[in-house]
Amino acid sequence: MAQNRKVYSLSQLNQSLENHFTTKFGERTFWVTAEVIKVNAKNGNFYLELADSKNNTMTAKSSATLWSRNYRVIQDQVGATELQGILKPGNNVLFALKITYHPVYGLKLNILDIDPAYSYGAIEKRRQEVIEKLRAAQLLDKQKSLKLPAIIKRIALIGSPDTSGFTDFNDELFSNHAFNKFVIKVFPVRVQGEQAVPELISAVKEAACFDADVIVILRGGGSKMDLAIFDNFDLANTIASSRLPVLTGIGHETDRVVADLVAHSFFKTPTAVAAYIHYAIASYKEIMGDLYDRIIHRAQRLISVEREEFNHINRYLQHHSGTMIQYWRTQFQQFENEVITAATSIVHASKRTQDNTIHQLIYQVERTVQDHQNEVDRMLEDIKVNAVHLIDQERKFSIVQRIDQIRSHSINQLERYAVVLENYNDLLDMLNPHKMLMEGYTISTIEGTDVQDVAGALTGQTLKTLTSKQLITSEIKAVKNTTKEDGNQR
Amino acid sequence: MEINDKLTYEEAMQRLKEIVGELERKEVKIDVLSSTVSEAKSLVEFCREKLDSTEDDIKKIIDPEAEGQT
Repeated sequence: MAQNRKVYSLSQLNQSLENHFTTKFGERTFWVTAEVIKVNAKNGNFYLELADSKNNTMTAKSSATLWSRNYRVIQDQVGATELQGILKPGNNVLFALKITYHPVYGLKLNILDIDPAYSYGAIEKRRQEVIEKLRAAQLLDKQKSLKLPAIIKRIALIGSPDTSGFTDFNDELFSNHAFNKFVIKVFPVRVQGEQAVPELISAVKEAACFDADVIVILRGGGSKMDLAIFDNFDLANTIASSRLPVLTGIGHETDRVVADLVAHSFFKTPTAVAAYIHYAIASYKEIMGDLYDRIIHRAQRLISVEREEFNHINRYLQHHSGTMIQYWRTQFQQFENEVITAATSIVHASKRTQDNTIHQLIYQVERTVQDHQNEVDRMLEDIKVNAVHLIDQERKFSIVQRIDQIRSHSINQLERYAVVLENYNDLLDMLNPHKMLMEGYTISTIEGTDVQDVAGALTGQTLKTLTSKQLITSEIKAVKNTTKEDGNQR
Repeated sequence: MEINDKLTYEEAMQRLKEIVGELERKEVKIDVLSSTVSEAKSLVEFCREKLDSTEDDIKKIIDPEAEGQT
């Protein structure tokens, strides 16, 4: 058995393989879809690892080479960034390739061309799947229910700080707009490659704990493939469930990623996000200004209406208080007139009655006067008669008697007075000091007071002694009490 | 109606309208006429002062700078 075995060398084998491949496949170009697993670039040549999988299990794997020459050709067609975006691990790509076999390096796929539409299609397909999943989980519109604050001041900024998108955003935000008191907290993340999605997710979660008004996710430019990371379901779910509204400024004008769809609001570019923030503030300011003006106008209007009513009421008040007084005055006037007329009529009436009574009274008086007159006349007559009679009587008896009585009475009276006079005379005579002096008595006085009546010590005092012939002035040397116990001689 | 801090412009105006109505309907007796009119006068003062101060406040709000010049 062993003897009829034909043995080849490896080289022979590989050589024959090479020949086989060359003849069989050498000239043919194959359009092959595969997922890029790994990409290494060296000297402008790209060495890729491609794979295929079904239900998440790998079904095929090959290495492929994109020589720089072919790279440049493709790049001219597709665009540098797009090409770079496509040649990224995880992307499904449609390659035009030739199969080559090299005895040393083995089977090699030589990439000639790429059809980006397929990748885009794959991305789109995947995007739609994610969107369906989100819709099913009712996450698509969750952010829309969040209220965007009128003034966005505190921003949690997620993006890659040194990318153009980032700088565009900051330029727009801090250029000389009216408002620039923003508080920015940057959450630097990669916005490309495998690490981008997990970093973005944790950044969004972390940003939600930050005291911000909004979360802004920026990714300037980039190829469709690059932007495909923003179609990731977990990222979209994180964005949708974020408690803070998320604004996205991802890609170019036309790019629309899933993150945009679930975000509260999305904008064409990072600059557009900053512009919107300013626009929101400006419009808020404008609204506030407008409201302020309307409030002021309304307040002024209210004041003038109130003032108008006030003046109206005031005028009414003055008018009516005037008329009120007038009313009462006229009322009073009327009453007064009535009173007066009533009074005058009463007066007239009473006058009349008075006149009557007066007349009656006069008549009465006259009559009584007359009666009295008569009475008086009569009495006069009587008096006259009596008087005459009395006089006669008086003349006959009582006058003489009266005179005698008067005479005796007055004589008695005179005698009594004479006696009294006599007595006074004697007394006077006795008390006549001159007589006493003549009899040898003296009158001693101190300053006009009788020495006996002077109280206190007498020694040293000036004594005036009056005799019948002289007035002696002397000084008291000594005083001797001459009264005896029984005090009867001085 | 007593003029105090608690009195509001509306209440004052309401009372003023009542007084005007009473005067209009000649319901105010002579004995209370003077007190009523004096009450009205103090209410008028109160309302006028309230209007003026409110208007000044608004002017101050609208044009705080101008306040310096007036």
